[in-house]
Amino acid sequence: MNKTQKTIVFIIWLGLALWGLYGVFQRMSHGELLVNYGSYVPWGLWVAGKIYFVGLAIGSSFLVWVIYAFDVKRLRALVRPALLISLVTMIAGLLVISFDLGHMWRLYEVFTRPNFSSLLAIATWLSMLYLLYVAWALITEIASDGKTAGSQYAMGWIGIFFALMFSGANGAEFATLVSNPYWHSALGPILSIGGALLSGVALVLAATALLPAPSTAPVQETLKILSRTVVGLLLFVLLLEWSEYSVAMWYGRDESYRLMSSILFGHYWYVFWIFHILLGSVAPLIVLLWKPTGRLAAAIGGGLVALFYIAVRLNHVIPGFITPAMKGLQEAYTDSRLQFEYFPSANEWAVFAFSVALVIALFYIGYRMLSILPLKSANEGGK
Amino acid sequence: MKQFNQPRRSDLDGGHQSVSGDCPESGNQNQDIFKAPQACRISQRRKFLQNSLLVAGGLSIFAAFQTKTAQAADADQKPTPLSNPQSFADGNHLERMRVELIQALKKPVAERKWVMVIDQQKCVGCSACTVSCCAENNLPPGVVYRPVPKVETGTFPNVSWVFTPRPCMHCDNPPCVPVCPVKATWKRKDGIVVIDYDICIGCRNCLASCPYNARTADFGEFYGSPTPEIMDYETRPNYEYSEQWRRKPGTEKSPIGNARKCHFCLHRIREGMLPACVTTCLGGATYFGDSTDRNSLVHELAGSNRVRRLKEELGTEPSVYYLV
Repeated sequence: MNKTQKTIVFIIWLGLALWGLYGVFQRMSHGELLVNYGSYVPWGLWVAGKIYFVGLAIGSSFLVWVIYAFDVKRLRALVRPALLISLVTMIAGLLVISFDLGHMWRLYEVFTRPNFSSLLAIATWLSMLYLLYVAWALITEIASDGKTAGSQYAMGWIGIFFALMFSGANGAEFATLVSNPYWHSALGPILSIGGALLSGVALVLAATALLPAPSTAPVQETLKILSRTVVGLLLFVLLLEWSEYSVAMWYGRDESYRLMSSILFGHYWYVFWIFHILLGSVAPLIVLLWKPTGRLAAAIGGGLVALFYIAVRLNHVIPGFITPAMKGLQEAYTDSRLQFEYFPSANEWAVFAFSVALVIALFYIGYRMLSILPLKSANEGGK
Repeated sequence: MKQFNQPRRSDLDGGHQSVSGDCPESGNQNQDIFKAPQACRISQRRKFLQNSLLVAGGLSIFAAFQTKTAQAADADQKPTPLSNPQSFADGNHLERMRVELIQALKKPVAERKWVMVIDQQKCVGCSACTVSCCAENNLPPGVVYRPVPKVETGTFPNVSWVFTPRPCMHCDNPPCVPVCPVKATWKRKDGIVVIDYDICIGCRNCLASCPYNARTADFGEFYGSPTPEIMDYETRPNYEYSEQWRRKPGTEKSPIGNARKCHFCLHRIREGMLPACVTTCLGGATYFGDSTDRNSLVHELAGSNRVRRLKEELGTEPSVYYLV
């Protein structure tokens, strides 16, 4: 990036950060008065944001565990930035979900008096443990100075198991709610794992393409491997989604059909068709297949997938609440908090923007402080 | 015949001299008071008034004594088991349920099971239960424990309304309990699902898991918040779970930030009172009691072939029965 580009990026980031800080100030001073979720749609952008950030954290670190477990030397240089991305996105995920709590200062109770029958408690514990595990891996990686240590092999396999379990638990958190036909699907945990891997690897791809590195053959090879991985994962996730939607909608009779129809053709149809399918799937597929080794193509393709995966998370969380449990409930007692529709408020967007700005800032600080040069040792050869 | 004398001027003017001695006996059938001389009529009237006052005073004292005695008797009254529940067959089901409730309270907590029965044929959809619940628990905007969904059925001209009051179902297998990450909600031994406001972190996972939308979150709103002053009635405490909960504007002090729901008016039950929605039901459509008491009204009603429970297919085993 030249100086002008850097200035533009900085101004955008500053705007995001200031808006976000104002949102956080409002959240702290007004509590939840300025949010648009309520009692019938009790989760909104912040919960979607949490599973989005946690997915990015799991997916980006999963790449590292694979590199460790299979000693993939050609991708060895990705370890540090991927771990750093995982660390900062996990922090953002935990932060954004704490804003969602009615009593955010009581979050510690999940650790002091946990209910381990609750998948939310399990997921919170796993989040914290995963954060520590990733931090430990990053410290170990820095200490090893880029050389593969014996312990990293074990760390890789444990990481693979840990990431799959954690990601599956995040999906199961919704899928186990038997009362909700939209979420109550055995595909839920699998989709969660697929989505996490896709979005996380896509973000690593975009970061790899954007971070300064010489445009040499090993870089192109790394980008090619990552691009193909992203394309493969994207097709896999789309296949799962096709399965989910087509099974629910084929005969068009039950509650699931109505829910899916509302996602595809309801008020917020553009979230699915424009953000998820067009910008988050078709455009990246075209770009990554057309020029898999190009840095710009990788940055755009990976960036689009990673950025617009929030649309999938939103479509996963909110439609689960739009159907009243009983007919006539919406009219029985009316209040702005007792609505079966939802669109995030300005405050919710601002807090989410703060989380994004925080991710960028923490990554940049970490990148500068830890002297992470992603492709420095990419020409070591190997597998 | 005895002659009456003419009254003196002083008597007519309000003199205090007695003239009663001059009057005939009241029992004298031959004497018509309205034909009697003026002095005698006045004398009789005074006597009548004196007697009336004496009788009235006596009656008042007697009535006061009776009331006090009755109150004392009430205070000392220990409800006794109903040997014959049919004694309430005259229709005073509220009193029957109240007595049954007091009886149930004498049992250990684990040996009673509170259930509610709602007769949809009797419900007139007045929402008096919703209003009384809001008043009893001082509910803020957006928090409701017992809405009454109204659904129109049929097609014209054969149309009808179905009213389905929806309190918390107090499920025997509650989906909201195991999902709580901090054990802030649980099912008591007597069947009531409760929330500890001091522990709840406000994650709303229980709201998401309830198949009846029976839980609502308290976002800290006040009816008067757009106006310059919050009225006193909004900041008065409620007594849910027999504790004093006072909401204050601009704070996140519980129950603000918490999940909230119907608790069968546990604080009233402890005092031997029926839930507010039961006592205010205009149609007499809501019944409450201990289902382990085989002589209780709710046990009787729950055995009806008109009974159904909401979303039974989910296996939640609700403690609220509907008579359709």
